[in-house]
Amino acid sequence: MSADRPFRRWVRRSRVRSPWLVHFDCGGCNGCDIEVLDMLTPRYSAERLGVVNVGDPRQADVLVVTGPANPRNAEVLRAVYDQMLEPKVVVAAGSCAAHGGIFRGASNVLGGVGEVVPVDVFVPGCPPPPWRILAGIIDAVPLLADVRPPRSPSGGPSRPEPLRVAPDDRPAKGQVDPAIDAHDADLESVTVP
Amino acid sequence: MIPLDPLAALVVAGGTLLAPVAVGLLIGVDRKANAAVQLRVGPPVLQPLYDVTKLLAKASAGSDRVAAGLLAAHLVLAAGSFALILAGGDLLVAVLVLGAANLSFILAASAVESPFAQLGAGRELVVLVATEPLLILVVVAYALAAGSFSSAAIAAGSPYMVAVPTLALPLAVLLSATLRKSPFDLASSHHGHQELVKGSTTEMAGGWLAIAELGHWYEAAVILALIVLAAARLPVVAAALVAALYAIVIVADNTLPRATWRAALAIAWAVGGGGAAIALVTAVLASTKGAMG
Ligand code: SF4
Repeated sequence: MSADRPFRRWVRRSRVRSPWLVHFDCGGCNGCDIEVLDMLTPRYSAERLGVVNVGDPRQADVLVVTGPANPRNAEVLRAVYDQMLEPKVVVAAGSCAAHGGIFRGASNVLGGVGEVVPVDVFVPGCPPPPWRILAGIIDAVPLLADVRPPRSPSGGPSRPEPLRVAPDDRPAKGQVDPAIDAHDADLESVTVP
Repeated sequence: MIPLDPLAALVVAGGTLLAPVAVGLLIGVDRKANAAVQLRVGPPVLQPLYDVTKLLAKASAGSDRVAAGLLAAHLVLAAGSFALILAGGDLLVAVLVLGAANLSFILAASAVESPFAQLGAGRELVVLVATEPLLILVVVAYALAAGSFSSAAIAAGSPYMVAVPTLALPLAVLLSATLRKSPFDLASSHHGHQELVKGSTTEMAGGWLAIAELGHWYEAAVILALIVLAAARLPVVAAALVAALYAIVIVADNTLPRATWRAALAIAWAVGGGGAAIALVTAVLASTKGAMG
């Protein structure tokens, strides 16, 4: 037992420090995809966290999804998710991936990707800036430490108040959404594990 | 085969088991250095070991049975090649075993249906064609200089920096190729800047990918052992030689992105082959001069 513990610590540490990404675009406007790729450039130095962008779901630990779920891509998204080996996490980047975004309510849109796969972290923004996507990944990696039981689709982000629909609820032009502002303040305190 | 006493056998076994850890750390330092060149922080030095541990600890990945067997053969053969050098065995046999290990990996990559894996396997073959002759030339040059193919005798006759200085060129090419650095990363690259990011390893996942990686680390250990043999009796010089060649490889990696397989072949044979040929001639001249004098 005691000889077992340092080994287990090493394994958990290795899992957390080696998040390999696979990026799947469900078909948003591509804005989020540009930001995801931007996040992988040397400027944000994601490799310091052990991040590697792999093109293969079977080699990936983190699924970064952008865009809304629709009946045609749901199957593919599910297949990509199912091909990933446990432990794995899902980061939904952008409003579309969270709840359908500007496509919400369209006849061919099911909603966010949480309708199809269990999402662990929702990253707000349309599109979210690269550092916020990276922060979402940093938030998600501790979940990689242990193999978790199979999970069912999570649905959209849970928030106590209903999704904002009224136009006068939006921040005025040139003003920052207070929710985003608060999230940015959170980022200041993010420490790399 | 050289008869081993139990203690020496223990040293060889221990060294062979520890070799991947050492190579993993070296690759970690390499990734740090590369990041520094590109003004990034870079991953921790332990990163390659984290990666392999994580892959080994993944929920089991199904694998094509033929590919799995070939991957296991790749690891065992590469480790065996390294152990043979460590035990003072025949260097020519060691590099041929290494070639067999390479071939197992290529067959493993082409045993699956993915067109990317097949393409990667083909390119892996190009790298093998570019480097295998160099390996044999290097070994022959060593043998000419030392008068024996046994790695023990070659180590005892070191250093060879004066006798065959141009041997450094093919050794640098071999190091670059075994670490899959530009221009030899055409089959599968760790960087996003190559057109084929995941080629030969496309269908490998979880523990199987870790086994493939460990096999590659043993391949690197063999090449590093070949470099160390140039100055085996002077450990400090040997370490400096490894560092110097590694530095050349890092510079080449950062200045030759997007090299094609033709460029890889041309560079390997012009730089490596040229250096090896000159080394062979100098070794022959030195040995005949020694015989006459
Ligand atoms: S969230 Fe916005 S930027 Fe991202 S895909 Fe949807 S519409 Fe485009």
